[in-house]
Amino acid sequence: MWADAKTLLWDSIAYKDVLTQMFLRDLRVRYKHTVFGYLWSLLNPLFQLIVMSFVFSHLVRWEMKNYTLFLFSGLLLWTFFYAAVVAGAGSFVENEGFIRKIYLPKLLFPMSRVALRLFDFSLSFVALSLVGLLLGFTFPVTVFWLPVAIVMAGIFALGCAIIAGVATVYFRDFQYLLAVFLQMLQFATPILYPISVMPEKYQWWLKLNPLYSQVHIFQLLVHDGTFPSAAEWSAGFGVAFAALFAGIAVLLLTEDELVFRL
Amino acid sequence: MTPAFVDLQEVSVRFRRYWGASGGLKEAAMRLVTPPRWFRDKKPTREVSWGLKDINLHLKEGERLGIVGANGAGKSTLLKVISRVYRPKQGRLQVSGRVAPLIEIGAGFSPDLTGRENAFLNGAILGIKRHQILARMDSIIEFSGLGSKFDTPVKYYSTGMNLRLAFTLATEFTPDILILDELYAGGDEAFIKRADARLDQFIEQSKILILVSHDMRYLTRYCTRAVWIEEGRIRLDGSVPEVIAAYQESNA
Repeated sequence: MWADAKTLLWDSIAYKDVLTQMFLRDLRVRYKHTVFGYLWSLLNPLFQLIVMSFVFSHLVRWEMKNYTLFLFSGLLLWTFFYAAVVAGAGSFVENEGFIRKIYLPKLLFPMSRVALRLFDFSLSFVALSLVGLLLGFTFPVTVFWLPVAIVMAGIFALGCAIIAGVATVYFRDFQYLLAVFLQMLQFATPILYPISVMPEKYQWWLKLNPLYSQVHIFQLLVHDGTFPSAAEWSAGFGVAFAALFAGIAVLLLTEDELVFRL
Repeated sequence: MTPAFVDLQEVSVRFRRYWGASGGLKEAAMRLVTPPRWFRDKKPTREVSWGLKDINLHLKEGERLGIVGANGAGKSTLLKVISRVYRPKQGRLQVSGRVAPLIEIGAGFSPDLTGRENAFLNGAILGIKRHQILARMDSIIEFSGLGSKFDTPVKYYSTGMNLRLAFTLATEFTPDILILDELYAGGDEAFIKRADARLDQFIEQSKILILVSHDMRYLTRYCTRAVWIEEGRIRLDGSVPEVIAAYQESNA
């Protein structure tokens, strides 16, 4: 297992050009034949944000500084996480043509897909922030720490994407189950509502959700304007690396068999 | 630079093949809650077999191996083991040198990308840097004979065009070990001539060539050694005329 882990690591480095090329391929292919092209990466979250913010700010009135900003910070992260895990779930099955015919380190498949979603995420964050500034929103200075938080979210999503990818190879039903599961997860994460609206005795249940530590850091940086404490950072990075190591462990255990399961 | 070689010791590959919904969560869950006898009459949806068994093979620099055998004997499986698609369940595989496998036409191509874009992706897979490909782009276009089609998505290519692009990319940057399966299926005469010339050149540079073909003339022309594979085992390993004669006799 240790030797395999070394191979996985070295091969992933040796094949980094393939990763770049796969990333570029997905980037080129995605918005082919569409009129708006990359603008969709901005329009999609923008529309989603407008609808949600309109509905929820009229439906319920929570005590907060700026609900739209709060929603913005959590929803963009959620959209990234969702897209990355769904793309990761199909990353082995849909690359059957590669896996059955040539050797490539298996880590490349989920990695290139998550990288693409991470690119989207960063792009839409910047673009929507500019829109926000034009509309007169003020962002706290803590937003400059976002790149660190985005790296953290990327590590977490990659771990989850690998596991989803392997699970889909073994149980094809998983990809459908995943949609249901993710919907439940979205409501179990304080994205649309602040955690403070929950009765105090249930709050710790929500905090058990591994996604909470991730979302919380984004909300602190973008909405609250407070710098996350050392404990909050370590929770966020701890969960992220735990997910990544779990993903790599799952891949090491299954990588030789994947080709026979496709 | 260390000399190129391929070494297989007691290599066995086990196939586990699944079909139907055997991989479904439902069935896995059902098995947990239902008595086993309910499953007794069900048709199997998986099969375990040895694709290769106890293969010993050592190829050194300059050796050109031809592989013969019936369909399903394990020829392509052997090629896939050497190019690391299948990991041996038992035994040891060692390969030294840059391998360019051409096992299935169009493997590693992305249909939505053009020939040019695929050249970069495929090149990266073969271990070739972007600037090297850029420097040889003209030569790649010329040799493949794709002309203006080079900037058309690969999904609109004919089988022959696919083969031409794949062969060109695999051989343009002389690999240490070239693996060819059922070569020339679909190339036109002009291309075959160019490809032959390139393989001749390859031979002069004393690289390792592994070739699977049902065309004995090719084996005779290019190979210095041949193995006959039957039911996943090496039945005979020897000189090309010797192996071809034995193989043809068994088919007579």
